[in-house]
Amino acid sequence: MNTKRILLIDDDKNIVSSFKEILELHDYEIETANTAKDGIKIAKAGRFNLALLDMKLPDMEGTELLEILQKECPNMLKIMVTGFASLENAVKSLNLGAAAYIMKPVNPEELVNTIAEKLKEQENDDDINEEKVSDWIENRLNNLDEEE
Amino acid sequence: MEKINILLAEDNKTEQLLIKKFIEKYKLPYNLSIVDSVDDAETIINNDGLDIVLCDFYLKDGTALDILQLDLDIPVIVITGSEHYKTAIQAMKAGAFDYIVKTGKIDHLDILPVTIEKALKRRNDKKRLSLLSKAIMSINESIYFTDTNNKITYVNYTLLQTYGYEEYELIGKDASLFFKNPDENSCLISGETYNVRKDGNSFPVYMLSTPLLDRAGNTTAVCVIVADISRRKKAEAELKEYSEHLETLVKERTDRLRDVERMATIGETAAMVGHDLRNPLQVLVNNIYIAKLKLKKLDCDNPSSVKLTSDSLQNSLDVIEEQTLYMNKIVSDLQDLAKNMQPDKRDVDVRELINGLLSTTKKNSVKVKMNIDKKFPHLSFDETLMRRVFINLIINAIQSISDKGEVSINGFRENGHAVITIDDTGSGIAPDALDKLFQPLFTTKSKGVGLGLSVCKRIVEAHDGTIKIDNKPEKDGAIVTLTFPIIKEN
Repeated sequence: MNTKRILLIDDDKNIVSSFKEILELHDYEIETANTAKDGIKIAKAGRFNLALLDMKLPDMEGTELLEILQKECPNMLKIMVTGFASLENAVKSLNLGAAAYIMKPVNPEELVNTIAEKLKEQENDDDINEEKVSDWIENRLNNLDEEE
Repeated sequence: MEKINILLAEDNKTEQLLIKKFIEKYKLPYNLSIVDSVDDAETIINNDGLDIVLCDFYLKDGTALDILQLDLDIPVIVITGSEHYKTAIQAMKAGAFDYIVKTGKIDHLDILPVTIEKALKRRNDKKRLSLLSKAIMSINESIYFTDTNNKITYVNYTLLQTYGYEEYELIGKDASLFFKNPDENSCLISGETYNVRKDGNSFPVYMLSTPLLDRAGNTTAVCVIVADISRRKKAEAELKEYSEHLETLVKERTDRLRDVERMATIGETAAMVGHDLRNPLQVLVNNIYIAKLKLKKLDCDNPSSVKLTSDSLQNSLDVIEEQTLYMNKIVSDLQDLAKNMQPDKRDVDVRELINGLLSTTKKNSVKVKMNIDKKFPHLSFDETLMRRVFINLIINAIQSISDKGEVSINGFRENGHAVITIDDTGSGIAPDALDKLFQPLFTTKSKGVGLGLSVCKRIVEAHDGTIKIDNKPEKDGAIVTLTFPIIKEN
């Protein structure tokens, strides 16, 4: 199985380093960024399965970052993490396509579970997509045969 | 000078001529019309413009009494023969103004001008009196007169209407009957009180009493003007009620607004503090989780595992300690902002104080210089509180520099005050943020409650000092200026 890659974007260095350590202990490959600008650059450069986004960054609001990343890396799952929960932000995030909306402080165990769950769903979706594609190819081939 | 129009009623031609001659001789300003009968006199009298009637007692068709019976409002002077003194008395009784006795010679007319002058004066006085009386009678305020015993001697029409009396019911009565509280009558000269109508209803009035004096200065009567102020009082009461209502309304609204504001502030504070505490809390939770996980995996028999685990635990504990201190700072700031600041002031060497802080506020890429010389006065500081101020300000200055830069701290005297400035080569402050810097909960940082500067300001002001923050003119960066009084020279 391929190692899943996760991107952490938060301007609090202590948060980033402790989440990094936790997720690495669960065999994920982690990269980090402290600003939205760096986050976007890193996200575009490397293929990530998932990103944890802080809602308040020095250079951008989390929802804005979410919108940009949704365009740039549509397949990457995004989980919003916030210390300043508001219904407005939650609704906005989910409408923009966030996979989850989590409030600090989150129990690391739960976060790890949520991440694993979301990645599993992603994998299933990919499998289904792959199945669909192979079904379609098979059908086309059959049709071609019949046409001949 | 206007001429005096005189009607002469005289049937004796000689007498007529005599009077004409007399007027011509003394060039008297008289316009004379002459008749010889009561009938003709009446005709002229009925036309306007006559000032005086000069009338012989016996006329062709009657006597002066017939003319007097006409009840004229112009004076009539009767001329009688000397032998007829009884007719003079008769004429006077019938309302003649005066009489002149004929002597048969012209000299009896010598007193004519004076008599006419007196008659005219009397006539004018009468006119004036009648005018005044009419005015008082018909004026739109209640007026009454009393004598020296407070008995009513006169009331006007408005008073009768207002109080509901007939004139005869009042004349000669004690004026205290107008008062709701009769005792007041004796002491009230002018002012507001309540009067009663005949039907017993009372109403608010403004009374103005004027004593009428004789030449010796003794009061002979009192004139009282009474204004009914019911409408004014009603309007006043309405206005008062309205303004009271308005006041209650304003108070209610203000209270409600204050409550909302207070709740909003509490909500805002709770939200900001909550947000700021959640980050370190997350770090605590994470490190505890890591520590537990490491302990679970610890292989006690493997020395390298023991070393790795203990290093990791040490690291986690360090982070936990650091985050606890940070959380404590947030809570202390909040408390400082809420509580009464009572600094425990002592003599402090500012140079030493700041020097001691520089090691704790280091950042490698930023150079921090202090230019405060030994002669800088000692200041009366609460060391713990002022240390917090300087740490806050120096950390702010350092944080404003994203890359490399310099922070310099200067101390000098200016206008008898000690001035300390902290300036940086950082990014400066957005113009719209400058005004709000000292507002609690205002922050430009993504991680920060926005209490630091408001606490600094409170502490500085508790030391009778001032603090201001500006962008440096024509250069990058901001400058904080602190000013304190110099208590004593060292």
